[in-house]
Amino acid sequence: MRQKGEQIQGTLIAFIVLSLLAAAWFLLTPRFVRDLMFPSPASVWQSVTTLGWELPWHAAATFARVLLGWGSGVPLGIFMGLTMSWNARVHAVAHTVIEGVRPLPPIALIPFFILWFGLGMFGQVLLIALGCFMVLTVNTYTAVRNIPQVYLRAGVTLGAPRLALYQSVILPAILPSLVGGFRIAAGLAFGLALASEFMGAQSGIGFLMMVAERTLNTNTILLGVIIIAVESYLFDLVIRHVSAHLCRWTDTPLELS
Amino acid sequence: MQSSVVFQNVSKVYDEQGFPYTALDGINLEVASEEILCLVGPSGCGKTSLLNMAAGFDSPSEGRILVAGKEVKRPHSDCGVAFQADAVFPWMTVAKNVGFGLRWNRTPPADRESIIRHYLRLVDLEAFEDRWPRELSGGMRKRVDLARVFAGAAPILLLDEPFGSLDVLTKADMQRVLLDVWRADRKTILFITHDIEEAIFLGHRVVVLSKSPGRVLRTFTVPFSLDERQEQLKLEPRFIALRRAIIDVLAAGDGSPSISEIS
Repeated sequence: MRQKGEQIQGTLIAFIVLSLLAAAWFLLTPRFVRDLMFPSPASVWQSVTTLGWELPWHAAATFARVLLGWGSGVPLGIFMGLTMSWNARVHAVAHTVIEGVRPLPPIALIPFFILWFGLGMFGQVLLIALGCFMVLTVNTYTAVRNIPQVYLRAGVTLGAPRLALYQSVILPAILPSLVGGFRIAAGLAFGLALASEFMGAQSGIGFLMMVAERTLNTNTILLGVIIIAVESYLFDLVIRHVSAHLCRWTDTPLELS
Repeated sequence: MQSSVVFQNVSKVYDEQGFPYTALDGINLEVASEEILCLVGPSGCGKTSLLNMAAGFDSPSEGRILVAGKEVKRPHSDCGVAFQADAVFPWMTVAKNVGFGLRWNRTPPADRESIIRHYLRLVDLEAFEDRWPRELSGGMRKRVDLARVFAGAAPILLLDEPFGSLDVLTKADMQRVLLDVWRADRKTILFITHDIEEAIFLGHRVVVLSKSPGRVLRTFTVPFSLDERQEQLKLEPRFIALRRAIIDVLAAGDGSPSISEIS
């Protein structure tokens, strides 16, 4: 566990670094860097005022895709990983398929998804869910394999039926190892949401950025980048806080800062 | 007397990188119902293998094992097991750990709390019921583990050096607790230890195993009644004489000169 003082020091350093970067942005643009190459804070703000209520609406659309895709892909991935550990035959089949498909970036499937599911929300959410599913399936299965055997043996000899063993022993035992998977999947979800919005969506920050790109409106593109960064940071923050609460029993509490 | 755990001609051969390694050789052993049988032997003589096979985690290369009349083929819940390693679930509070077995053996929810409290009081951890295991010392966690095994309804207990990691005073305390539990519940207990004093103090019989491959060298019947088993017994000449006799058997089985011969 990190010391409290060290933690405050870390936060302070992060704050200083961020302040320096922001100061550089304010000082260097547009005086030394052209607005087209890197828009100044003023031009980004201008873009905010021009977009008006459209901006929160697009931000919400992206966030909704992420939330729906992550929220369905993660539980399904955990379920799949658990099922693979439950049954050797499921493992044999699923392992082959998943290991075959996994190296393929889900982004490569976007044209097919558009053909199959059209330009609507469903296909985009499905793509995100698929990405999260893959991460959590492998993560869960590996975590189950690494549970200390003594916990499983204790559970069995104390009379827990198999389903109860999964519920009361296996699932809580693997939870700390799944936190990494939750966070990686969240990052992937934002990436996939943006990619699917670049290619054919009619809403979302990615859509906004793609339209802006056509007119070389770099103000809006930078604004999009900032919004995605804030959204994914906040989402990660929530994941870390909820995970830290769920795993409060561990020897090494999860780091929150 | 009805036998609760029976080892019939049990051998265990492990494959060590292509070379067969005999850990246990022709073990015949019966743990009678309501008996505390202590198994002593040098490290590596296959004590834990024997227990793992009785619990169904491992299967014998030859022979068979019966628990409550049924041949053991897979892990089962007829025996409560205390492991050498820390088996307390870190994600459950102390009370939840102790009550874990009660959730599956049809104990009415209304009775669970009083049972949990009873066993927590026995191991002197009543004040810690809402704590996480990480907040306890290693010795306290071991006591939680034992309370959990005792609280479970299994009529047979397999205990693998359960007090090995405890300090002297706690160890003596836990030995007394084990005898109290036995007095109240009359469970059948197979107790593995390398501490001869502990084996005599707790056991109705003490079985001595040889160094690898493990064979039964001799079985001693302990002549002390339950009421006699108090701390001071360990200092009495007849206790010490029995202890020396067991050490002699162990040493002879080892091929080294016996202690009596030396002294």
